[in-house]
Amino acid sequence: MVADAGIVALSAAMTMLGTGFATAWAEKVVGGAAVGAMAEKPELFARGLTMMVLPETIVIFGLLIAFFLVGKI
Amino acid sequence: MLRPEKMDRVVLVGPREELDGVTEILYDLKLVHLVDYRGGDDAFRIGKPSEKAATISEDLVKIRSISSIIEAAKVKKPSEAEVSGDVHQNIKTLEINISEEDSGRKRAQSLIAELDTRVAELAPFAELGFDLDVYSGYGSLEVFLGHMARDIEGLEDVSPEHELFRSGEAFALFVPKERAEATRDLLSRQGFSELDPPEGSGDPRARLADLREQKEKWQKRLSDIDERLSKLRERYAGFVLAAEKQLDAEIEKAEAPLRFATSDHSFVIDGWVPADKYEALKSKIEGFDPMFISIVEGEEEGIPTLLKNAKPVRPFESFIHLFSTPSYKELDPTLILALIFPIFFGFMIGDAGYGALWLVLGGLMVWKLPKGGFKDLMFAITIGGFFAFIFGLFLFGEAFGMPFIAEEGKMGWNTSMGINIPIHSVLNKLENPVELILLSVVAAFIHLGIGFLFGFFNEWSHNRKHAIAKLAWLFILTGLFMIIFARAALWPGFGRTVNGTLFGWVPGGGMTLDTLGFAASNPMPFAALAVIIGGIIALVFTESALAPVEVVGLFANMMSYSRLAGVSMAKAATAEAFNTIVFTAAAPGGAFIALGFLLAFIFHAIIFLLGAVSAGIQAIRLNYVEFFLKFFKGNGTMFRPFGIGKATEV
Repeated sequence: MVADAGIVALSAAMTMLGTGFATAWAEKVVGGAAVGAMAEKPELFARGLTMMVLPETIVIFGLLIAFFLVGKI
Repeated sequence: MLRPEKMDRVVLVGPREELDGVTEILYDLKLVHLVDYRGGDDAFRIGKPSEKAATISEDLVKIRSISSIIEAAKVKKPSEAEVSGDVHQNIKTLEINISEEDSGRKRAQSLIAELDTRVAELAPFAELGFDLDVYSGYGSLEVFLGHMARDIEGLEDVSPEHELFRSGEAFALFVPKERAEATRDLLSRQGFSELDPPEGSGDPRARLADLREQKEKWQKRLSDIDERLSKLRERYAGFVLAAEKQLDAEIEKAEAPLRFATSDHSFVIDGWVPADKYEALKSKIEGFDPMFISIVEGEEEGIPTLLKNAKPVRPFESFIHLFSTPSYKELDPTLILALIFPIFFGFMIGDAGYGALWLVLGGLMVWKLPKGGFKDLMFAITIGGFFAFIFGLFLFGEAFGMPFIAEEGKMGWNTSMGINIPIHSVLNKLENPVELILLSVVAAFIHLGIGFLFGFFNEWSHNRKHAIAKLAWLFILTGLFMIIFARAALWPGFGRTVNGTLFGWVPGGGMTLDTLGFAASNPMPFAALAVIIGGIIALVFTESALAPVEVVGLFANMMSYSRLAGVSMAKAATAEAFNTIVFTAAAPGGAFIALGFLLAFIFHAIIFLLGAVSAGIQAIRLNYVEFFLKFFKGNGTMFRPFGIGKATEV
């Protein structure tokens, strides 16, 4: 299995890359809309924040999978 | 504690003559959340504001405009001027004084602006230096006046006969009338911006000097006015602010009858009062002889919520209201939030150094800050700092990203700084990530479990079936939790480490049934499977046939808590990287040690602030998203008794 260590490590890195990018993209969209909504109704702050941080779950899953992958090395 | 304050619906009835007195008493007591009368029956109509209301609101408009002219809010500590004597008359006098100064200031400002334009118009001609009547009044000559950055090219070809005068970018060009069209084309192709010919005659330089002199004079006047206004500000800011406050109160009282029901000779006030304050209200109201007051039974709609929590928990109520005010009938999650938020925050920071700093700095800010949402936030973070300190000291055994005790050759307080703190870490954030993730799952189980229990108690009173569904979810949660733990103990590579440290008590086998699970070598605890299947069956009967699909969602919720581990590790890794840079920079000794201290200060300030921001947001998010959505309905009305002024923005 040692020969594959590089591939496994690379897979872990790609998992982080992909999920990180996905989260960033999703938060960009949601965050923009949330700030827009807050300009109209400041009391939407908490809802906006909640919506905005939802996509973070994606990168958390990525982190978990990366850990399990690294554990295989 | 977990229930909001109990409310009673009260009705006050009395004769019209007592209306003002009763309004005054209610305003001072600040106990009754009024229910506005909407009209709609023959005997009663919506009350009329008292006769004073018109004058008061006029005064209020005046005092606000005065306040904005003298910028009263800018005065840090207004002199405590008593609002005495005839407020109305005082405002009138002050308004006359100030509006005169204000209009003087506006006139001066507009005149200065006008003079500025005229100076700008005249300046190019002053540079050219001709008298102003030179530029007009020719029969056979055309005059072009304007600006151009570059030289004019090809003028010879278009009009061999011409006179050109330049000064800087400004120029005056004289050409014969018959060449005018062609010259205009040439100039406009080369980016010519035309100037309006000046009016009047004489030497432009003299006129310009005259204009500048006038401007100076007006500027002097303006600064005189500003000085007088700032004197007025110092003198009257206290009065203005106090009067504004008093008038605000008076207008609320004067307009209160708009919320009451009145007939020709009587009035009715309807509202909610905290149950334990009813007697106090009653004794005051009965001081008016002909007044009648009573509790109305059986009202269920629109009950306002007044959260009831112990004092140290109260600052966390703002987090709840920020999300949504709980309805009167549901459990108040403030206590749980107050317990969980600081623990999560502390776990994510998990560092004795940053924790102690937040404890001290946050404590100072709580002490100094004025009441409000920001103070509440700082209070929450201060408590979080306390937990970060405790976790950092006893669980992770580190401060400022360095372990107290490190092996020889690695960074640590004993090896790098020569400071001995004899506390061994139970977990190392970067070396035991799986344990951190498992701790997060434990947090998920406890937090979500409380959420489902809350859901159960909320639903119990109005829908038993939904309440049982919450219990079914609790079963499924327990089953998932057991599977994750058993799997973690068996996971190749990880299992051994997990069983060797904090989670040594997790059985590696025994509670599993080899024939279940994906393969004999990959078993799952049968008890867990039984609990999950039982829960899913219960869900189908209590919620819907599609509900089991959401089990995946619950699993995602549980995994979402591993952000606790994620943020904690990210912080630790950043701190370690920064510390490495610092020690490398300081290694040559001498002046480099000072550089090391400077770098250490900057880097740790960054981690200190960024860490708190991300830990704070993640900790509140776990409450808002994962926890609240399991039971919280919200949409309640906040208890706002008559007399506390208008709703302040959160």
